[in-house]
Amino acid sequence: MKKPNQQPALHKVIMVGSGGVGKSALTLQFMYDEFVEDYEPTKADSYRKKVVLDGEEVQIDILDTAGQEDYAAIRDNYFRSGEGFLCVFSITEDDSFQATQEFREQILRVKNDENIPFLLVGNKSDLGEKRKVPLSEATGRAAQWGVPYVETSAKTRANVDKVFYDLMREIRSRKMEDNKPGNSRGKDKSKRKKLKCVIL
Amino acid sequence: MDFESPDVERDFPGLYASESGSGKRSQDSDFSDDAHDRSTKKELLIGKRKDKKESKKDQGYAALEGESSPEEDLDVKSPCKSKKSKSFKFPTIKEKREKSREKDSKEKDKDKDKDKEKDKDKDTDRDKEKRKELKSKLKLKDKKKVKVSEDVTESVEEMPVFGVPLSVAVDRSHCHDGIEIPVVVRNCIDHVQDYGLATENIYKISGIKSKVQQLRRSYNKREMVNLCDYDVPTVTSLLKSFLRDLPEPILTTELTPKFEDIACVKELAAREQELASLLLQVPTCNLTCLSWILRHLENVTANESQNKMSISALGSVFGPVFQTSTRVVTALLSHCGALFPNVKLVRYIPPLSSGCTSLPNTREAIAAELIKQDSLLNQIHSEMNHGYTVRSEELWEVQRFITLLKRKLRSLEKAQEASSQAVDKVDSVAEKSEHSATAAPSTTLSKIAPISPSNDKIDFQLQVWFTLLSSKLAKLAQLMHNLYPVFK
Ligand SMILES: Nc1nc2c(ncn2[C@@H]2O[C@H](COP(=O)(O)OP(=O)(O)OP(=O)(O)O)[C@@H](O)[C@H]2O)c(=O)[nH]1
Ligand SMILES: [Mg+2]
Repeated sequence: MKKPNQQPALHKVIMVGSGGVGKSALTLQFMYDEFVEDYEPTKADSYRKKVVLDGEEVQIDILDTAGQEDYAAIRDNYFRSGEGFLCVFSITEDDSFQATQEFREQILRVKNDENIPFLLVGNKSDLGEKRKVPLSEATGRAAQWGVPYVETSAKTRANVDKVFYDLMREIRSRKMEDNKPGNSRGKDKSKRKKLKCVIL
Repeated sequence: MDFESPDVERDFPGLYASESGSGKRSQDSDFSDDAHDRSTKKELLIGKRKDKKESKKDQGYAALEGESSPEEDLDVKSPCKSKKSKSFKFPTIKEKREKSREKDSKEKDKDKDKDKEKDKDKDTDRDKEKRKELKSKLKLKDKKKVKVSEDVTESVEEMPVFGVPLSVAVDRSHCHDGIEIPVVVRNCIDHVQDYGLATENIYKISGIKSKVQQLRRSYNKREMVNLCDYDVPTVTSLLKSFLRDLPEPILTTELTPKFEDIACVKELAAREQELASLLLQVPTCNLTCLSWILRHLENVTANESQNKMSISALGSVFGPVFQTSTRVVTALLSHCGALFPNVKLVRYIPPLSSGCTSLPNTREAIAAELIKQDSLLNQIHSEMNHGYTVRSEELWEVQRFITLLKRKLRSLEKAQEASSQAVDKVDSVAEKSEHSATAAPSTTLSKIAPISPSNDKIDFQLQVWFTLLSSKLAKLAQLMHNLYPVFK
């Protein structure tokens, strides 16, 4: 299907979640194989990387947003342009888990698309002894949303690649669906939602 | 330096290829000059008229206008429609409007002042309406955002730069280096300074209309413009059309008659004095823009032997452009040096485009670039927040560039920290060894380890070596400190 000389496909991923849960840590581990111990709140950062996804060369754009409310004002502008979301909480902090509900709602509101590629990510899995969010609770919420749940550690790199690649796969299949000939859903997200309702 | 990881290089091919290019360095120093200039000029221009009422009024007006200019709604029938309609439709609407306005402006020129007064009243009324609208718009914002599909690149001509009040144009078309002049004016000045000073009859000859229109459209849409692709007359016509289309004369409707009076004063010293004091009443953004243009025109007349443009020749060209008389322009031009002694033309170096192949390499240059990029990012955000435009591609790109710059800055800082820590370490070690050397012959150490002469020798040599090294490092640190005044 793809023409060989085309620019590689670009998938736009947005990291969301409360402050300090490890969004930047996951991003930096994925981008540069590095882990930073110090916590420096992010305002917004963006990265691009070329990766091979199931044999196909693609580019991933990662937008690492601010968890801190101080920077929430500019978040909407970014949310609008994301194609997939990693919604991160820390398994050691229940508040951050509760906050995922709000992030989910905000994303659905901005994107107006129930089926937006989305992963629920429980980070800091290396700190198992400090776990505050039971696995069952997290998987329960993910099931309720109809999204995958993955536990990661930005420190040990456990599942770091997995969450980014899994999300890219979802985005890719989503795009292929949208580009199917005779599929009128195309660019209008609101139509997409209506159609979904019909299916349901 | 982890930012030099293969990933980064892959993503930004040739990123470090021309890093040591000498051109870069001169740009950097340009910028610092410019920053210095800016602060002194601000003192001159803003400082003196800080408590003038006009400036406050003007700012209020500007803020309102900044939110949305009244005339936008005249053309755009339904905001929803405009969102969905494709960008190519706008230029035609706009073109017609601009053409008719050009005609109008010629016809109206005589009783413009009266009209302006009326217009102003209308504007304030409209502004009130707009405010109400805006409030409801804000409420609807979330819904609206939903409607906007991010894949559609929309026309930004709903926020034009031409034909709007100067303060609005400055707002919409920032120079990201802090000089508050619309980019288009700055670009035109730079271009003529570079290529036009020797052009015969410069500013008198008109450019190609269609090209001027094309440029106007590009600037209105905030597209990347390279004036080098255009000839000098087109660029001068562009500048003139920008000024001519300002809804208010650059000297303001209110003050223009007073300038006319002063221009008639025969005694030169008195005239200069009066001009200087009247200029203080001109709103800051008008004054800044005017001063740069006049300083530039001064350079044009300085090359009269080549370009045949005398002060009076320029005066007769720019009288109508400034919506005033030849006499006023001639007077301003002939006193230009005395009126604006601190205004120096500095070439505008826009924020590096995210596709650029080399990053600045000094902390200072990176910090300066970050300020520009941040200013650009803020502009993109504010435009997106107004709901007029969708610039998400650019948003991600600029954001990515900022992240890259920040990473480079941080690694440079770390490197410096490491080197200064090394100095500290060496210092403390040297101190210790010094201490132990002096203490050794006496009580404490001698008990623990009797010092052999050979040990002493090594100690001494080490000490010499340490002192040498630490002084070298200290010098280096001093040098670095001098070179890069601490950022933030
Ligand atoms: N042990 C452990 N620590 C982590 C992990 N991920 C992040 N951290 C630490 O948690 C702190 C916060 O991480 P960040 O990645 O900066 O958090 P963030 O989500 O980007 O926070 P904001 O930018 O404020 O939204 C840092 O001190 C990290 O070192 C992890 O997987 N395991
Ligand atoms: Mg962060």
